[in-house]
Amino acid sequence: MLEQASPGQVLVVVSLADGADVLVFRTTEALAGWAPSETVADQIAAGADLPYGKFLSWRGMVTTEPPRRPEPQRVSSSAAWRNEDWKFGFVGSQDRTSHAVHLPPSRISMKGGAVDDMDPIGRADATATIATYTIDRLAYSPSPPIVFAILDFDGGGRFPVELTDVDPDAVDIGDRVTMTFRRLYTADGIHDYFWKARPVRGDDAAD
Amino acid sequence: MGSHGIKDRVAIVGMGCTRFAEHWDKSLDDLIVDAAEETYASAGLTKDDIDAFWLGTAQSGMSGITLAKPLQIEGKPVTRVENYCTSGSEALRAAAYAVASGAYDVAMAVGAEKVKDSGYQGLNAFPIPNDGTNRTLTAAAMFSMVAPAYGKKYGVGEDELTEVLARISWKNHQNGALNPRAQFRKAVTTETICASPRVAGRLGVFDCAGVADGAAAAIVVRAEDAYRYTDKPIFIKALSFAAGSGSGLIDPEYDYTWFPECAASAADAYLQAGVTDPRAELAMAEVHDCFTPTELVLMEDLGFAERGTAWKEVLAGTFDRTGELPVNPDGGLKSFGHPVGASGLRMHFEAWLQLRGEATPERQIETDRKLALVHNLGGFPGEMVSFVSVVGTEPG
Repeated sequence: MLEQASPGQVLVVVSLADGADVLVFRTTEALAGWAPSETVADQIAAGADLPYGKFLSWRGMVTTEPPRRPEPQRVSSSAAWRNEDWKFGFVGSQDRTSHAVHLPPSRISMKGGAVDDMDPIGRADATATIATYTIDRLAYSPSPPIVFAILDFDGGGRFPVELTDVDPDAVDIGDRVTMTFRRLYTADGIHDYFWKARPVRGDDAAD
Repeated sequence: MGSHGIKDRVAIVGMGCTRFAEHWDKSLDDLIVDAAEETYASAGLTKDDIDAFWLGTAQSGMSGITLAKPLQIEGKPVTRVENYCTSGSEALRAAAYAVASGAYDVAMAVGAEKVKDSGYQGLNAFPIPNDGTNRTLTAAAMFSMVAPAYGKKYGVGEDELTEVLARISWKNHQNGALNPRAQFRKAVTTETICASPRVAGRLGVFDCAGVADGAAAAIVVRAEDAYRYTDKPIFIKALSFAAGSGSGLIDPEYDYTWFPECAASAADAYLQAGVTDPRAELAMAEVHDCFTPTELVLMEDLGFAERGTAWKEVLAGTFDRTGELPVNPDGGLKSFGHPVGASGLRMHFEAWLQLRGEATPERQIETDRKLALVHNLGGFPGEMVSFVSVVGTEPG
């Protein structure tokens, strides 16, 4: 709504579930100077086609048979809170001496062994190249099969991560990808969000 | 500082191993009792003769009680160790060091795992509370990334590499077919192997280790006491272990064509044992063939072939049971099966049988060489632990 609103408008949010919550907001002059880093419209446009069956399973309207593999455990809230820069911001650490990038952040460097001598390094907006990849037909995922790639980031850093919005048959070594914040799974009613990578498209070039 | 090893200070004087299988009718306790009883008998001992016990199990039980209860061991030191799929080898390492130190006269190492009761396919890790950012892939998927990387680096085409990997699986099934204790006792054609359903990447069902229940055990004593228990003790020449820091996962320099932890533990083991040319000195090797590309790469990490050449040696039959250096003559993880914590001791059991000339005649190795190597790993490319031992029939 904020992307479409102008200053001085009244916005009403109604949440109707077991009860009803109504929140009333008024936009201010500051809205005129604000622009989202990626609009909802852009995010929708960057998505891939979604088969209807998969849509129904994600909405809980169709139950699919899970693999005979352990389902994910619910995320630990204290661990997630402690690691919020990493988990929600995809911020690693970079050794000030060797410049080795650690994803997730590490206190001791893998190159040279420096201790507590790192700067944070955000990789959420960095583009990356697929060094190698695989397709896991057995592991649990709400969106099987898991397409999984080893990414080398422009400007440093390697991270193994799940790909999304991608055709498993079209992935190749050398493909260019960018990061996107997604739901990985839900366990005990708790959603777990983290980063996946998706192919760079034409309108990402400016990144 | 230094890794000195305990060459010829400790000997294995008794071993036992259950069949590895989907033992729906046997509990973990049954498997432990079966392996332990066979091992006591093999050394001519009873449990009262044993001073200390170690149990390697990845996730079938916690604490030494998991062993003490089924074996009815009262008031003795019993310790459970865990180090991924090398848990059984860790039990042996601990027992051997305990005897070498002089702390105990007789120690026993048991490896056991009840995998099939979970109802899951493949292996899985015990869940530890975390921030929800860890990968959730199968081991098959992690190891599947090795094959294309190897092929690309050394110029092996996709079809050729498929043939190489199928040859490894074919060989291990051939060996397992002759082994009454193996999980899978059928020879399989390379056509069947290549046509099997894909599990992860290009790896099919026949590229993956069998998942089984089982147990194996060994009794160790000081080398000078060994002949009191058996005419044919097996002397420990080297016990080496290397854990990686996990940096392979996040270091752009790692290329998925080798396992640095395995190369490091092999180099250390050869130093301890005084082995300079493993391919010429070893009678056989048991290696951790969790997936076919793993065995391929290990042939180079363990120094059996030059970098980039193992695929040719595989096709030439170098590592066949009747080849220059038999690898996994008992069928390996592929065909003998892989009950996680039991596998390390199962590998030593094969070395024990072959070096003593006690394998059944149709699968006994013909060789004059006196040394065998065991390689056992846990984890996956980039984040791995590796164990290498060398054992032999003669002290000194």
